[in-house]
Amino acid sequence: MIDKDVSRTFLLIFSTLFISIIVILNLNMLVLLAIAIIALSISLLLRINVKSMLKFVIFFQGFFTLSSVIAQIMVFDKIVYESLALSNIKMFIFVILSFIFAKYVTTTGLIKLFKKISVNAAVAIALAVKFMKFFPDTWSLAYRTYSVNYDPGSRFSRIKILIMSVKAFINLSLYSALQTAESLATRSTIIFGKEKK
Amino acid sequence: MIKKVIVSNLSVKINKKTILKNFNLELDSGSLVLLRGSTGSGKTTLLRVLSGLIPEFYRGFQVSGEVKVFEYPPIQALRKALITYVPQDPYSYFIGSTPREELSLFGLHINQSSIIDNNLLDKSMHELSDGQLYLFLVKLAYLQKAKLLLLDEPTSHLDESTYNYVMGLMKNYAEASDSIVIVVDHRDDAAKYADYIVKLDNVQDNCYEGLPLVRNKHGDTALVLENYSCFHDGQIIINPISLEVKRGEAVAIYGANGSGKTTLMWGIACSINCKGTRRLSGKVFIIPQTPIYWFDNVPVAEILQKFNKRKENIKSVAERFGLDENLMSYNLSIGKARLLSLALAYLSNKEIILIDEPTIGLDCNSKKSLLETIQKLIDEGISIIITTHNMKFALNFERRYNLNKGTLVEME
Repeated sequence: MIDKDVSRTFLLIFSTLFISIIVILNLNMLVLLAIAIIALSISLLLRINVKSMLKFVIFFQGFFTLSSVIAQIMVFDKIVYESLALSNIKMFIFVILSFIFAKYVTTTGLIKLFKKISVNAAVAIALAVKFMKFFPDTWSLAYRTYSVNYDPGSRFSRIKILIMSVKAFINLSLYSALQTAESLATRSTIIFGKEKK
Repeated sequence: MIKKVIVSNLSVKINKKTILKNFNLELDSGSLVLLRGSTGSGKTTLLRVLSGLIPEFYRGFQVSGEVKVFEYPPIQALRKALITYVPQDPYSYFIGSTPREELSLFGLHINQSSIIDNNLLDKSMHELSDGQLYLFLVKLAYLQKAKLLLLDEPTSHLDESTYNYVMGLMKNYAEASDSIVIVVDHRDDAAKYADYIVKLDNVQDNCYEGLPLVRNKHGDTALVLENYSCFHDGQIIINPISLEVKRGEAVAIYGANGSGKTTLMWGIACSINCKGTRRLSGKVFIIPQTPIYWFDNVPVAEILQKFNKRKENIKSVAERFGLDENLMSYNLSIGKARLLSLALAYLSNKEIILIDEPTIGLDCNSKKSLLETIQKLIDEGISIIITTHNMKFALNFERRYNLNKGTLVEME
């Protein structure tokens, strides 16, 4: 019998992949509208907190727009507003989908689903989702600590705080991955039931 | 009688540095073993060798000698689910993002046992306090019914009553299931639960008693909180409190696991949503409870240099705080990472220092050095506020408060 976690996970992965393929292959306003309706229906079905989704979207969307502009300036190219808008729309959809994925797909569901296919795939995917969920907290702790401890007086200091936080965030994510891998190594028999006493 | 854990001539090295040398150990089942040693003496390394994580998982280590756990090499015993390991750092160890998810991974349901409070079940792991996380890990480990249970530093995370509960549970478990429980611990009174005590070096007991911190009598006010309350997700965590701290004064806030100590610290640093009056006469430095979770993975000297507002010689600062300046920060033990944070607080030259759970991972001598450092800082007119679940450590502070479910009361 398929349990609730597995079926919900399967449904979400399927719809995410399906919508992503439509977006990649054929982006026009009609498809966009369809996607918005599907996303809204899923969000209603899963009782998504709209406020937290908006915060998430604004953060990543802002970050993406800024990095696109910087990237285009760095390659000494003119900013092509049309392509920027197009990539932003794609990014917007991706961000909403990743929000739904990160918030509502459970790690347990993923492990249970994928371990039937491959234990390694289950571990890799479970880790990926775990990190998607933990990124905001890891970032928040690093940034908050540097903001308090490193005098955010001048604009230069604030940039420095941001750079230090980003460096710490990347390394902490790797450290966290190592810790989780250690956890999986010590508990894999219980979770995956590979070898019995 | 067959010994269930046998360690013969075990030597462990990393980057030419010897961590354990010709170590021997033989343990019978049905016993609780207390493993003691100073900060950085190799206690965690030994547990990782016994669990098979070193050298199977941590490849950089050179291991020689023989280790048998219930007649198997450790890695085989681990794969047969004979071993359960509870690490010193519980923050990233969970796989699920909420306690409910984690329980589900183990095929457990909340109504099967009183593993965790119902109101914590769907909280993000990051929202749980350090003590709540550790207790949850211990209970999960207990339910796995392994023959060798390894607990790395429960004292660092658990308050007095929770600690006694866990040690009692472990003692009964070892006896009832004919298993072996090895507990790494700095607490002096842990010996009463132990059948054997194994010391890795000449670690001391009771070395910091009778070292009360003496207030610098400058008299100016450094921090005032009036009717100050703090929130998380719209929920009140710290009820309206009032607190005044003078320049050159050290104050301890004592509280059980989950009492709101960490929220209060971030509230004082004004980094979370709080209401009420907060007046500071200087800049704040905060040492978070999770010491390693804000460092970049670079040599210790490089981190110290970034915060060196005092323009001091980094080598001598590292020596004073017992740090190896060339070591990468992520290779530090939890205790050493705590000392690094303290060295940064000193170098930053801030007027107010907040330390969340300063004794995590520290042995007796390191706690003594910590008190001496705090004394030096308050002599310079710096104000220190610590939170702790360790009453014995808090007793060294002239002024102590008790934080209970978000309410702060001055202690006699």
